[in-house]
Amino acid sequence: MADHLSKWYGKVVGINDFSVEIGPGVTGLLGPNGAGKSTFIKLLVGALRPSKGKLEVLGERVWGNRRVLGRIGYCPEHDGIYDDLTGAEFVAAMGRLGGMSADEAARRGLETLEQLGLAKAAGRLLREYSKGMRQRAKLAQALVHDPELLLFDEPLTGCDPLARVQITKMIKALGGAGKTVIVSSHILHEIESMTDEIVLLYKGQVLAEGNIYQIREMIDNHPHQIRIECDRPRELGQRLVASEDVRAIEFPGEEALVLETANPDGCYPLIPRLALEQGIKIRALTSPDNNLQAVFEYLTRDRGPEGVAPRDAQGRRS
Amino acid sequence: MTSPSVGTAVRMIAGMSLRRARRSHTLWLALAVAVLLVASAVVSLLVGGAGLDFYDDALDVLLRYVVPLVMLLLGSSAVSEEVQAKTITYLFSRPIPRWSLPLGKYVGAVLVGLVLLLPATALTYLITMFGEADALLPEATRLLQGLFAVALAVLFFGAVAIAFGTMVTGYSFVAALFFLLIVEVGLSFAPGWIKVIVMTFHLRIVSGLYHPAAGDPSLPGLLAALIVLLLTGLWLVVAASWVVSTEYRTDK
Repeated sequence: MADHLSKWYGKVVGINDFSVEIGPGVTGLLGPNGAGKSTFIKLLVGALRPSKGKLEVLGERVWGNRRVLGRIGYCPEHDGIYDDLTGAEFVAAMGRLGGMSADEAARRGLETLEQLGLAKAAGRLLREYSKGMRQRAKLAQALVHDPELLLFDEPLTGCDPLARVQITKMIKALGGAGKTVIVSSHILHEIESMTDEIVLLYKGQVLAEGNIYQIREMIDNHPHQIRIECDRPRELGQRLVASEDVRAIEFPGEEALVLETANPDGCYPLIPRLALEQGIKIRALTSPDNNLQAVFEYLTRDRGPEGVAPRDAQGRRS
Repeated sequence: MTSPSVGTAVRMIAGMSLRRARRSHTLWLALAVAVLLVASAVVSLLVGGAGLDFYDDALDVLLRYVVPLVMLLLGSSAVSEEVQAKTITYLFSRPIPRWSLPLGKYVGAVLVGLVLLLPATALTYLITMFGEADALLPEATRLLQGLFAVALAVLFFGAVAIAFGTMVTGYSFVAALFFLLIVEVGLSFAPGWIKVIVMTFHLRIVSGLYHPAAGDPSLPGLLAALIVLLLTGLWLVVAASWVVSTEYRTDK
């Protein structure tokens, strides 16, 4: 739980007046580079101290708190790793430093590496690993001591498609098993593939939080775009623009139009009705808003220099 | 999950540090410096200049220059390399006391230092005494004193190196070397009691190399050894305090 949390690096703002509460299951931290995702995760793992505000992890402050750190597994975003150790040695060493006995750490280390598809490479030095293998070894060290809270900073970086599927499944399973998993990414479909629960970050502040569909509801007062591919787009556009639900129309090509509306529920029945009346053939009707990218673009657009919307009565940002 | 004991944390960190050191240039440089000392004894023996006097000179060079240099090579980058390689994030996200990092690094550096420098000292003694077999045993206390002084020097300069490595994450070797040049070399030529802040002064007393002239300060060997140990502890406390209160950024 972060309450008005701020972290500054000298004059540079890492995160600013950041309030969020995250419960069990998978939560995605989403934002562009520099949004404050890694700073927030480093604060959660006690690698950084808050400059201001309150931060509690598993009900306690985290900086220098060994009791809490023993319940956290952290996979950093950087590629640094102990190159002179084998995969098995690295994961077992992290298990030992997590409080496991030597035998238990060695056994659990091998099991975790196997889960991540690294069983055959366990005896090889980490410097010989590919980027994707190193990423999986980093994940293994975060999992080896079976922590309650897992912090994965850009966990799919450098992974091949097969490993991505494997890791995504594993993260979902961990969330399903009741663990609290926080995953950061600046790539929207990565987060979408893991969870619906997201926290959108922008310029060190929480832009929105909650279920992706709830967030979609929150932005209903923003224009919703509908792209129509048809044979006579200008003719259809002329009819549509007469509707009070349609705010604007663009023609991105000879056979397409994109309309903006504040009332998508009114527009979706209107479009086929007008097309039918005019005898216009519609080939495709798509809404770019149906993915997280559009939500993110809406929320980060036209926010002024701060880029952040004010909070509503429930304390959520809209 | 319980937290590991401090002993386990220190042992693991020292072990990982030694694994990393095996591949680093600094270990080979430190080994080369130690070998050079032995080689100079061999050359001295071959040209007929060996003997107790040579051993005393060699021990003096060892305490003043070789041990500090070797320990700076081994210890000054031990913590900073964790920061630069960003591997410090793995250690500080574990339930271990933050100060176990410099302590583990210190143990690793001291072990290597002792393994390199004690045999080098003993070998130098044996080689220089090669032609004086009759004096080998009667003068053995000088060897023991020398070994003790070298061990103390390893402990002290190791602590200085680790402290600089925790406080200065870039150019820690240069910073520590600069400090030692000013204090240990520069002040060693100072007159009177100013010398007592120079650890090589105490180490030379412990080793039996120090023969005060009239007006020169003098201390009992045991007190000199205790002062060195006290200062070693102080430097380690500085390193530990620094690590406990410092955020090491790995995103630069």
